[in-house]
Amino acid sequence: MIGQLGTYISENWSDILLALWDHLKISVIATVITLVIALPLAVALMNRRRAGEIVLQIASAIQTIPSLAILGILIPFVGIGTVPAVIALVLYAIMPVFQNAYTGLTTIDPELTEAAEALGLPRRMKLFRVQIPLAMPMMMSGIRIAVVMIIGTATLAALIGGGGLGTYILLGIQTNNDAALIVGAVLSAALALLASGLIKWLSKLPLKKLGIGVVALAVILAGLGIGTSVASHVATGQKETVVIAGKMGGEPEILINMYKDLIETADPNVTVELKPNFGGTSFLFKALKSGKIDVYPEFTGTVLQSLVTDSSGKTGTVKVSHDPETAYKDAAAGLKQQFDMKYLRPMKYENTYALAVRASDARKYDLETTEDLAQISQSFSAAFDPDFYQQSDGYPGLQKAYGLQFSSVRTMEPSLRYEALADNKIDATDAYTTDPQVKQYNLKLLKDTKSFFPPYQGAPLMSASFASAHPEVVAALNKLAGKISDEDMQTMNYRVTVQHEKAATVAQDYLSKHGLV
Amino acid sequence: MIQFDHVTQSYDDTVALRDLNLTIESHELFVLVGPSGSGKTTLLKMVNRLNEPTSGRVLIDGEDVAGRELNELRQHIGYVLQTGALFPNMSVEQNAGIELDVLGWKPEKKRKRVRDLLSRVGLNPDKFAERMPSELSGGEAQRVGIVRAMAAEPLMVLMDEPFSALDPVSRKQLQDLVLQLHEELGVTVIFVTHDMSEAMLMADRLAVMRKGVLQQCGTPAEIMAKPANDFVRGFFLDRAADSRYLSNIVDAGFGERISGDTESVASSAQLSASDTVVDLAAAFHAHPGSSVRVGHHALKQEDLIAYLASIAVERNGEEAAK
Repeated sequence: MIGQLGTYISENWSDILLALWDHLKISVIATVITLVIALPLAVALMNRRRAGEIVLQIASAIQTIPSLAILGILIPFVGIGTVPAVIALVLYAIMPVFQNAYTGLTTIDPELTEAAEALGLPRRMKLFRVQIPLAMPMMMSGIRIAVVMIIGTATLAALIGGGGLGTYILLGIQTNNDAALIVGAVLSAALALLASGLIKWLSKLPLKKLGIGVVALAVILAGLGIGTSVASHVATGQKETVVIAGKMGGEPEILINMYKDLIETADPNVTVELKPNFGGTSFLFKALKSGKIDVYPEFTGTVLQSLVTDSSGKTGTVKVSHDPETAYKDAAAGLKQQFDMKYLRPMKYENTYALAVRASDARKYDLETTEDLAQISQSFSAAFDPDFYQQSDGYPGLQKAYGLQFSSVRTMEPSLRYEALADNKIDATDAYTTDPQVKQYNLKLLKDTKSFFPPYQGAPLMSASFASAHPEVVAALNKLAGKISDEDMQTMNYRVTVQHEKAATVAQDYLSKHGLV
Repeated sequence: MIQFDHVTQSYDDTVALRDLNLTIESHELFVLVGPSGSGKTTLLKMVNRLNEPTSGRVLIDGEDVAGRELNELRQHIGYVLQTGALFPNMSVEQNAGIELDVLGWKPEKKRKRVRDLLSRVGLNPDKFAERMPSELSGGEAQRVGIVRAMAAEPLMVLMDEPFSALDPVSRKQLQDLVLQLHEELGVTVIFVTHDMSEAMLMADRLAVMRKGVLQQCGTPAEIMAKPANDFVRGFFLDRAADSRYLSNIVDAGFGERISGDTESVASSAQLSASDTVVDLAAAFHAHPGSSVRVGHHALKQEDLIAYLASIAVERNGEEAAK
């Protein structure tokens, strides 16, 4: 485990540092905005108790909204990426900062307030020499709570394309990559602890030194921020940028790296910016509709089941053809008609369900298809993903279509079922056709000769206007049409998610081997 | 000179001060005394406008304070609160000099002034200047509070029950200190207390108040001799109820023993040991500066005051013990 972690870090350290920097940047921006809003507000309202209480109530109410819900609410207004992430973090962090500052300022011993008044201290002097210093311990503890919360919650920014360490946590969960998960979780926790300690130390400084320190820190961070953004602008130059995103996991990342290589080879004036592990289906689709991204790879089956709607505007009710060609045509027509989108020709491989058995059994019993298995299923025990076991388009339908009669059928945690099969605990299970474990555990996927499972073929999706404005991009991406077999994809997934090779390298290898670049 | 001119203060339906007229002369140590709810603190805070009267005027040297710029007015009036009320985030020196910061004194001049005053109130500047308020005893904190009030050479100093939270020994020391500072600096002091004995000890003149109405104003001897009404008499007697006979004064060791030839002592009056302190005060009032014979002892006016003060110290000690 430790060795695996070490390898992962040494292979990805520059990306990890970049994510750490993004995380820090989002957190610092959110913190600064929070302080700029909450502290002056607390000072302004300290003598207006009723207004102060109202603001406190509103801030508390905002805090009760789950952070994911806030992100969801914000997307239609401000889109995706860093901006909504920062807004959500600020909305969250205002409450502890305001509450503590307000309470600190309004609970100063009345004798001290009276003494300050009786001395005739001018308002500003009273505020900076008496009230703020006396409220400082409370203020600082509020800021500490807020910063720790911001750093922790900023991991959710990854869900809406904001980047940061959350990318690794999500990636780790999606691809069962413990090393990535640990990197993301440990770094964000360490960052939170470090920030908390720094603030604790700062809070012991006198007000004047504290002010100088904070300003210096802000200048340094702003300088770094401007530096990096200038650098990236200089690097980008006058080139046109195409933004391509991918869903969570290794397979989409390999695909978008291929897209990048193909496009940049075809037109050196175009720079492709990749956003791997960008989010789930509906999130990417919204991002595409709003123009935040230009292209992402989508499956035909997913388009028909989750994106296009029937005549009454509902999704999930469109009939999905079991013929891959028909399914693609339906999906492309639906997308064109309902969203004015261009869906390019799909690749060859299908990432769909199939039944898997051990390769040794397949040889022994001469199993090629699900029909072959049905003949001898009485002597096989099976275990399935609980969803697959229940859905009518899963095991119940399959069982009926092929007349399967396993000696026993159980449900099993998806991540365990391949290993159970390899260890002879079970003899058959459901599998995704491009899962790398098929290769890893030397399994055999049985052909779905009756086309029971809907076809899931991947193809680049973009807006029609983007497609007509960028014929060279379309031409470059079309080179992948009909390419990449199930086995090719399995092998590449195996290299990325099991052997932890870089998606870019794996993509490059495939393209050059097949003469596409 | 401070004049309260038909001053009334009312909150909703309660009247805290009713049509009060009072003049305090410059350089006086003037005491406002009365039980709680008498309006004495309310009256005090009108001088630096921590309270604004509902009607009537407060004049300093003939000028209405309502017309003065608020902070400017307050910067020239020292204020001492019950507990010292030092700012816990500042050192003794910073606390003591804050008014001088407001007035823009140069650091060196400020430092000299603060250190000089700290020495005067019995706090060694080398030892105390850098201490924080949390490191001071109640008495020390109140001494710093007095320095803070006096630092900017104010026209007057307002003291709101400044010693009520102190132990009897510290209280006695600080009473002496304030009397001494008042004598040395000649600053006008308005001093609020609920303790008649403290009032008698401290006051050049005092005003007895009750429920927002001024009962009597005069020197301690005048009031002791001729209480204006039953309340003043009761308030005063109550304070000395169990030790008001002259025998008590003599037994406590005050006065001078007259040896042998009693005729050689210039005494204007002779009282018996069973006469009361009120009778004694009346005698002093009738013949200022003289001494009074009680048996084989001669009592002077100072003896009476010192005796009353000693009762205060004892009684407070008993209260503290309870």
